[in-house]
This record gives sequence, structure tokens and C-alpha cells, in this order.
Amino acid sequence: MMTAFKAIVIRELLRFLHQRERFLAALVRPLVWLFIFGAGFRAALGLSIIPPYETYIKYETYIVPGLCAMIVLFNAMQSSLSMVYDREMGSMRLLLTAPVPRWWILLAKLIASAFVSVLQCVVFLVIAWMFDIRMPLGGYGAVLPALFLVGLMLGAMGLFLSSMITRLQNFAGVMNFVIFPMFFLSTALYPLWRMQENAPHIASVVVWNPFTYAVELVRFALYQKLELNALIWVCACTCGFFLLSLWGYDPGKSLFSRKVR
Amino acid sequence: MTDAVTLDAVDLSYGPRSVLSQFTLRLAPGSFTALLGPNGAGKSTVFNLIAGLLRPDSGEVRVMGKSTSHSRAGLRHVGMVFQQSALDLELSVVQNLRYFAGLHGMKNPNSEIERLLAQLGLEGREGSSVRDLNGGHRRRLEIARALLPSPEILLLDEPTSGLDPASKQAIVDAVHAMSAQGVTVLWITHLLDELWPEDDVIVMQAGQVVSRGSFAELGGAKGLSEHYAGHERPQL
Repeated sequence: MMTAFKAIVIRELLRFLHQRERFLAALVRPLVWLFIFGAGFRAALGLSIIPPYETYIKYETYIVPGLCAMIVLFNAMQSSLSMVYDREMGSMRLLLTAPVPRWWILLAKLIASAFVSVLQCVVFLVIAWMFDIRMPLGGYGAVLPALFLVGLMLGAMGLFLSSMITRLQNFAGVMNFVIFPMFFLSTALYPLWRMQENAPHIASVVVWNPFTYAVELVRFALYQKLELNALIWVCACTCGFFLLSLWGYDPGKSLFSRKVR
Repeated sequence: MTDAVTLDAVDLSYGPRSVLSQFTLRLAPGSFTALLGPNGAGKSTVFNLIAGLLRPDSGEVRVMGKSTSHSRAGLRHVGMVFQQSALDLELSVVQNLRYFAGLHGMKNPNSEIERLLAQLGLEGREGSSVRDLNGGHRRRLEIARALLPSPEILLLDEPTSGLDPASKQAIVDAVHAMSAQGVTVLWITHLLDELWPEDDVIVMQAGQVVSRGSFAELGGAKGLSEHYAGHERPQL
């Protein structure tokens, strides 16, 4: 089983390396947010001192964790898209006929996708550091497991979505109905207290959004702090989404059985 | 002796449409069985059931005596060539084969990969991207991949489509030779010139077996052509 695991992880890394434009696109998006939107929003949005921060911070510093989570979210969706593409092109059959348990195959895919997400985030954090948007040094180490966990959660969500999406063309809908609401209805760009003041109904949605907890886990980890509530949410959602994706890829119980043809 | 493949009273439907009804099939170890039938007869569904890509609504599918519903271990013995290409276009020829070898738990596949690439006329293309291969070479690579884990069972769904006549004949001969050495073969095709007189032939229609016998017993290419003509005459 370990040989199969290694094969799947190596394949995902090779595919990532072969798709250089994917890597660039993954970096350009958060960098645009950081340097262009960040500059604009800084003037409009005042931030008070809220945990984990112990002093006033620049708006750009505030949005770095959210942008890291955004990188992971987009990578998870990219991975999900590639699963749908593989199914349409037929190469998914190879994976699903491997003589190893299906949960093991999906877990290997998930871990590979999370690993690629962490690599992308590391490059993003290095670029931010070069432009003087810096976190405590120890935070750069502490954030790696947090990013990996977030990668597992969002990757599992992507796996589940890929089992439900029947056609590649339908994927554009995912962008509108999953990625953007998840990102904007979270604490990635603005703190919860500001939303509770100005739009309490939206704030009540934000507290139920798993992406909010992904962002907060990363934010606290960057300051070498553990947000237990966020950790529990992320772990629980990872398990939930993974179980749903196992159901989604079960040839006997799900819609997938009727898609393999 | 345990059958290599068993489908026992299998029912399967896609929504309200029944595709297989009480379908039973047994493949003896080392047999060469050709599965024929018009489009939509259920041939690829049989393939997908054996491959574990579909689970029957009722009945049981066993590979090497093990139910595919309960264990995927039986698939270790199975090599497959799908009707639709299952290659990863992002990877090279050798990366595709190494990936597949890894999925099948092969730790040092390089010498076997070299041997198969030479056997199938793909030497010198190891580093080529699959995207750059023509249809015939892609098909050869699919066959190399199926043979890589030294399978005891070979499932081939129209394996020679896209091959030139010489390559096609070489594949047909090689697979028959493997069958003679004990590999169980299920060969789905519409091309009757790929069959040998002693091959076991099953003709399917609407999810049922309508004839079974050796190619010679069923009248060879002429007899089976007439059989086909009776079942499938496209309205143009």
C-alpha cells in the first residue's frame, strides 16, 4: 500500500511541476489581493488590536493568513477540477481499479494536494516577507502544520465536490457557489467584530463557515498560538468531508457508479 | 479449480434502464474468451463490473475467487485495456508506466518497463510526453501498462482500435500466446478477424448471452456476421 501511496504523491507532484502556469496563477491571485486590494482597503478599514495580535498591524499583515487559506482553497479546487477532468478523460479508471482500498487512494490524493498547497503558501509567505510584510520568525515554522491541516480539509471538500460534479463544464458553477461565498463570508479580509457591528446577519453566517476557522487556525499559528476552537472545526470538517467523498466515490452507493461509463 | 472470473446472477440497471439481468459468466483459468455484441449490449458493463468500477445491484462478481464487493485484492492479478484511453497526458511514457507499477505495488519495475517498451516498439520514446504520441502508440502504451504487473487475467476492451494491421496482428498473436501460457483473457471486440477458431465466443444482446461456443462452432466470421446482421442493422 505504501508503494501505491508513493506513486500517487509523486504523480501529483510531477503534474504540478509540469503545469508551471498553474503555479504562477496560484501566486498571482493572492499577490494582487495583497498589494493592490490591500493598499486600497488599508485606507478604508481600521483594525483594532484583536488576538492573536498584540499591537496595531497593517491591513496587509491582517490579510496574509486569509490569502494563504485562499491559495489552499484554490489549489483544492484545482485538484478537484483535475479529478473531474481525469474522469472525463478516462485516466481516473486507472486509479479506481488499483488493487488498494479506495479510501487509501483518496487519502493519498488528499495528502499530495495538501503538500502542494503548503509549497505554494511557503513561496507566497517568502514574497510577502521580501516586501516587509513579516510575521514572527517562529510563526513560519508553526504555520506549516496548520496549512497542511487546512489543505486536508479543503482538499477533502474538493474531493467530495469532484464526486458530485458530472461534467467539467459545471465546474464554473463551483466557483460562483462555493469558492467566492466561502472566501468572502469568512474572516479572511475583515475581522468578525466589524461584520457583527455592520452586518450581523452576515456575521452569523461567517461563524458557521468552515473557511473562517481555516483562516483563524493559520492566523494564530503564524503568531505561534493555537486556536483550539478552529483546530476542532478544521479536524471535524476534514473527517466529515472525507467521509462524504468516500461515499461519493463508492461504486455501489453513489452517483459515481453511473458515471464511469 | 476456481474460476478466474465469475459473474453470478448479476443484475444491474442505470436508473430505470436494466442493463444486465441475471447475467452469469464464468471464465476458466487460461481461457481466451471473446465478448461480442452490438453497441449497448452490455459488454463494457461486464468489463466495468469485473474491474470493480461498478457494483451489481444484486448477484456477485468474483475475481480469482474473491468478491470484488468486499476486497480489491483480486484486482492485483488483472491487467486492463479500457476502450477509452486511461493515460495521464501530463506525464511521459515512462512516468505513466512507473505510476501504474506503483499503484500495483511493484517496487523495481524499470527492467520490466524496458522489456515491454521494446516488445511493443516504443523504445526511444521513454521520455516523450503522452500528449505527443499518436493514437497507435498510445494504444501500445496502454497494452504495455496492462501487461506490466504480469497479470493472470487480461481484460481488453477493443484493444486494437487505432492500430495499423501489422501492429494489430502482433497484439492478437501475443495475447493468444499469453493465453496459451495460462493467462485468462476476456477480449471485447467487433472485429471478427481477431479471433482464432478455438476461441470461446460469447455473443451478448440487451444484457443477455444469446450464443456461446467456439469461434468455429458459431460459424466463424461468416456465421457471426450473419448473427450480427440479424441484431444490428443501422438505419441510415
